Amino acid sequence: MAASDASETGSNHEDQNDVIMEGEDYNEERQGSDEEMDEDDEVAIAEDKVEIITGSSSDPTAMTFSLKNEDHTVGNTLRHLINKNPQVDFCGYSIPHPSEAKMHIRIQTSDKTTAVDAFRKGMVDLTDMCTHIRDAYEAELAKKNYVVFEELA
Amino acid sequence: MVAQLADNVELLRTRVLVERDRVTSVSGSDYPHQYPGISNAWDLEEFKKNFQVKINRLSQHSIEFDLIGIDASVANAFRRILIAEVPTMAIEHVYVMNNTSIIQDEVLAHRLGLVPIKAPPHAFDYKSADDGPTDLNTLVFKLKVKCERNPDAAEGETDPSKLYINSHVYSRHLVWEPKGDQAEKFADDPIRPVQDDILIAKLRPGQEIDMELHCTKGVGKEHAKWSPVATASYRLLPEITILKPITGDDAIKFKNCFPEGVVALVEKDGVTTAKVVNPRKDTVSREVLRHKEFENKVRLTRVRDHFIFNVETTGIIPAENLFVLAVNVLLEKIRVIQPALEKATNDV
Repeated sequence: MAASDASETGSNHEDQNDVIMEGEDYNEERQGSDEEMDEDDEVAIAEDKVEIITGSSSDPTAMTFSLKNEDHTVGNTLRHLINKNPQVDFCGYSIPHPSEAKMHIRIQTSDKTTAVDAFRKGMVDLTDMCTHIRDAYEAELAKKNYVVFEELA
Repeated sequence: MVAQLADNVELLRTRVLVERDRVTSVSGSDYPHQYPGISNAWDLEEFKKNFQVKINRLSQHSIEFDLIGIDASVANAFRRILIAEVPTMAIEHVYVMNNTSIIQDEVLAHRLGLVPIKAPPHAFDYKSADDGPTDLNTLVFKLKVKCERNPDAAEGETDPSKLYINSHVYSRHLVWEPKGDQAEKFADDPIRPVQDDILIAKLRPGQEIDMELHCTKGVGKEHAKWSPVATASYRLLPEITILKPITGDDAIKFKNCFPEGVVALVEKDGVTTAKVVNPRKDTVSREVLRHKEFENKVRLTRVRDHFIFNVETTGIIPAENLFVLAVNVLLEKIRVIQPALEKATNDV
């Protein structure tokens, strides 16, 4: 089924849910023979993907991250989930210039946590949410409760 | 666990208000510290409890399904990914051996690129500019059509398809040339264009097209030919609330303000009353807000976390599989960012 075309899914964190846990480095063992040769590329992709834009001080509760080759798709979604963290005072994203594929995400937290932790938590929450959405969709598809109709080409 | 908020606050929290000349209360406000007594902090269990998927209709070409309980940013992310970031195969390089038709090389190449090719994208790798074509990253098609005069045509015949042989070049003339182990790999479902009858060019006797076409994997972001969807869109579930009963002739007029099936007329105590039966069918034209007699009697809203997706596929990927692929793409993006973040924070 075309549904399995991406590499295996898993959460990178400790919480147990009904998804298979593949906690390791995502570099390992992607399914499909065509992925074997890409292992070196994996490391290269992560090269300057995330850059921390240093502010004036080394305050770990207020940081701006610059993500390369990302746009509103990831930005708005991450912003939404990071904002749902009660320890986060502020989270916003911006795209400095539309011609440049860069996205800035600014996170300010209370002193109970750090901006990096909030970012990590946001990504983990997003992974959980998406995994659940996908599982729910597939379960619903399997139930076949829908109308199958003929569409005229 | 949800504290009792005042009605108007609850309305603003969960609905988008559609008024006669504006739309308000649009952005989601489900963040912590917004409402007294409602935590709104991210809780996976809470999310799982409130989230629902309902698949409405499925056909060969499209699927309509509902996602209830997510935020607009997530729904939009899926829509964007469906259109621009789910990979497919499409014709990218056209090697022209002979083209004596009146369609220019580049116009033909452009048209060929837009022909959907039924090939499973996950079985192929991306081909970068410095990679050579291999059987793992390229599909080869041959297009060789020569137009000739038809010797059996009747006298005075004017229909070109009867007067000439091969006067129309269709997508069925694209012949797949399997390379390497592609023949066995795709033995059950040979690679071909999705539709047979896409008109590519018109020829007249003596004109000939002889080209070799290479397909590669790509995403809609780079060129729309790689988009797997005809389009993917969503709308919010409309809601029509009748605040004061609408009866008699007004009820008939009310019913006519909406598309068929949205409002029904029922007999209540001998009076014809309007009743909303299927707000989902409403296209929210706001016609009802134009009439003075319904002022303060009806309220049009949309449910802010109920998304009705309509995804139409070009045929390369079956409609029911598209959404799963989109979710996987988003998961993959996060999976790339996570180690990159660790790397950036460790170097500091």
